[in-house]
Amino acid sequence: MKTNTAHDVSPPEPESRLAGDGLPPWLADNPAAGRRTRLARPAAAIAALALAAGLWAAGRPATAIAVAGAVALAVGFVVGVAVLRQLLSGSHPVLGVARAIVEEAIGSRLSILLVMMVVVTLPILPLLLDPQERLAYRLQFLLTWSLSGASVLLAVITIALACGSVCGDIESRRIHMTLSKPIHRSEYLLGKWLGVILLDGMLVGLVGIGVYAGVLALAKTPAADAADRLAVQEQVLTARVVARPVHPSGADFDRSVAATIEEIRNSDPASFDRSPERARKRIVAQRVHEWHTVTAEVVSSYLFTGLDKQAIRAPVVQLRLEPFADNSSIARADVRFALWLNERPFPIRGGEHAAYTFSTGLTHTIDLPTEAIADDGTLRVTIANQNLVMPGEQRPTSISFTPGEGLEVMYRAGSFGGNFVRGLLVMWAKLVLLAAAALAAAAWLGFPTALLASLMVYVTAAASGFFADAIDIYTGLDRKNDTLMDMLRLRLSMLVERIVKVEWWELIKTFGAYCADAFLAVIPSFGTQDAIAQLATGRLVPLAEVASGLLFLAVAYPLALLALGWVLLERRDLVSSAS
Amino acid sequence: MVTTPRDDAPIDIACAGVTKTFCDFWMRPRVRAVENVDLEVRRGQIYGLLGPNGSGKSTTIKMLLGLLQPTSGRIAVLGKRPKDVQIKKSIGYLPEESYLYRFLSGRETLDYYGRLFRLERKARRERIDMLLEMVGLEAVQDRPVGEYSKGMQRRIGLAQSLINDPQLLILDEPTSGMDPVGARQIKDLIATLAGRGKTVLLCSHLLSDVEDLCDRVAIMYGGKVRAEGTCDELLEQEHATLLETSELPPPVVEEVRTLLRRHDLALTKVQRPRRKLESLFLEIVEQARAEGVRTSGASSGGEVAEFLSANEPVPDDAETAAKGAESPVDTNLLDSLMKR
Repeated sequence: MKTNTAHDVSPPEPESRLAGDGLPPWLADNPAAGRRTRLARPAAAIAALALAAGLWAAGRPATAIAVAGAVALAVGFVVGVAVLRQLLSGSHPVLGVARAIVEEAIGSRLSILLVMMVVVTLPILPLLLDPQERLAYRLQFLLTWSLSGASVLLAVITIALACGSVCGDIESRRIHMTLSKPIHRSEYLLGKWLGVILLDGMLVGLVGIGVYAGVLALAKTPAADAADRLAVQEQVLTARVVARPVHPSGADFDRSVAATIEEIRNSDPASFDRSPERARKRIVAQRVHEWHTVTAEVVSSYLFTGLDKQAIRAPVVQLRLEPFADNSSIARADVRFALWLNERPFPIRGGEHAAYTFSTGLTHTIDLPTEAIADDGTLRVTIANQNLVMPGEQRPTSISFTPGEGLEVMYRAGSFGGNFVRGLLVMWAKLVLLAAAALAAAAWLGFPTALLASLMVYVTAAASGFFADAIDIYTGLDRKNDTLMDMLRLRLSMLVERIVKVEWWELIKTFGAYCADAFLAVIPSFGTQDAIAQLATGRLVPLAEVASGLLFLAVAYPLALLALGWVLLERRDLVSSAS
Repeated sequence: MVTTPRDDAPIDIACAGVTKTFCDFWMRPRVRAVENVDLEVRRGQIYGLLGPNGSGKSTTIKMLLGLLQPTSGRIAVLGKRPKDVQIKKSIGYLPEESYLYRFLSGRETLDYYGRLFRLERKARRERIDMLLEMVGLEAVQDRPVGEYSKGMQRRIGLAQSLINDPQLLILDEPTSGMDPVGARQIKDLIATLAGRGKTVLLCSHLLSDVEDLCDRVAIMYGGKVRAEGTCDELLEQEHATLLETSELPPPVVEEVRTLLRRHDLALTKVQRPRRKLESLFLEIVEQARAEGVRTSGASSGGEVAEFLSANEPVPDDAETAAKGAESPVDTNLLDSLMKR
């Protein structure tokens, strides 16, 4: 047998090094490759800054600031990642898993793409604003769109990362190597959650810094006029407490509603019996609307309470109103009315009681003197309709305000910066909840299903108010005025009624609606903590709201979801078939 | 065979009547992967689990690691139930393929697994240095493992399985994807570790690997153990005798034939012994290395890492691996298994 001796073995050519355990030529024996990769990012940053300087010199300061802003955010991202790595450098397995998912996020193309969208879009957004628009509106637009957009993107990043990481571990069997080590499955999920929420915290902080800097920079640009500048200071870059008028309620109101119901029942029993709850709801809504309507014949008074004069340091408070002309077919009509504050006419101009004329469908703000508030903290705002009779009409148009946000008194109670931080905390708390929901889903389901389920949770939480109203309208029930037991009893009786009447299709629809209702009841609502809208309209994000957001959205719900995920993962066989 | 563990050595793995049936979404039985398997592996033994693909080897291993729940039967690993996290401090596991995070470098990968064992930073760094040297990946330690070749991924996989200085090493196809040099090194390493008192469960369908290394072997097919015993017990041919001498000239062979015929015996085969191809290959590579021929692949690998102790409790630093081994054995569980 012929065998090669040592003398027959030729030294391998460089091209042949891929044989056996070799590396690709561009990696093998090429220390400069690593150095080039390390230098690429600083070089790109310096090039971008040079471009920004060039744009500035060429008289395009806004574009230059946008480019510099993108660089600053990118640098902030790199620094943030370094801080996270340091935070997660401990020896505990939970920290090890958390660090791995942070590295996974940085290495994932989808995550990086979404992060780059945030980093690039945020500085560009101010460039899209119409410079002819009033500054206060531009600031509100910037705040709303930048924070809403970032919130949606971060939610998608959170869900994709959490689902992708756990499902990826299971599908690629990496989880076998991890769970064959001394780590509980609960610790594994906890580590994933910790990594995702710390990354979210870093990204929310980065977005916050970017938006805050953008808002301050935009606020320094010229305003349309003095009123616009005042609006910026008093209505946007501020934190105001909101007071709403005390609604009619109590026994008298209930008796009045009951009397109307009885009247309708007597006049049209058939239509009423079909859906008594819907009829009641309609009557209550009608009463509340009537209460918010100022007709030509009467003057209407709205009582605001709890306005502590000592706590209000500003000389003025704002009356924010959005009027509508009830019986006018014109989309944008003008309404005219006079005001009294605690029975005194306001404003007095040239010794006379002046009236206000406002366009309908727009939000208007009137500065009221703080001294008009009574010592007991009440302010009675009386409105008299002074509309003229429109051509073809018999009487002046009624003025109405949307119940809730249509008529409010606001006063400054904090700084914009502090309020902004509170808003960001609420935003982060929602992401913490989403991360836990996505991990719980991934502990049980495959990637596409877990992703869809998590997105469904997100959409439901974000639009729960809309869904709840839709279900109420569909089922004819009113969840707001019933206790849980009442709701259950009522719904059960409706189901029984459908069965007794053999209305099978109605029965199926009602049952489906109840299932959706039950899903809504389980998912916490993000709508009750709409910090972005509050920030954009200069309203104080209450500390209680932040605390409850952190407690329920960032602690209680996530821990419950993680516990559920742990139970599911504990019972799950991590191999789907025989091997 | 490299070790001769005593028959009264502690039992590190015990399975009694273990069955695993996989069910579909509706919980209907779909595949019976393992059926009524009994195993007993003693400390210091190299135990081979042989079988073709789909014979139930990997499923058995995953049940030993607590990754799968047996449908019926009982399992004790290091005296405790496989779900007990404490015992995993003393187990090293190399799966049939190295399932690694592609974005982590070789060093970061070992660091990740070191953290799962709660190893302090200093201990982690020292062990990672030694393991990287041992598996010959020092030069590529900072590159993402996604860029590693399959053999290099097996090497890093092997390194992670040893980072806790395990008492029990479970190796699923350890030499798959390795070149003959790497495969030989891994076999030598397994032999060395067994010599130091470690227990090794070796799962393979490479028969030569198992024959070279194992004290005892179980051959599985269709989820059942079809044969079990030492290699000698299983392989000895009682109807034949093999004599080895220096080269015999044809007349001497004829004389032997005549002698045997006188005793009513026949000489059935006369041939020159052959070397194993592996031995020839290794000799050529060794010679090339001695002459300084360079290669860009993983280097040959160093000595066995120092911290892989010789059947001693693990170092003091930070509650490391040996806790599981030191913790009291669930004797009731073992007894109940042994009574079956």
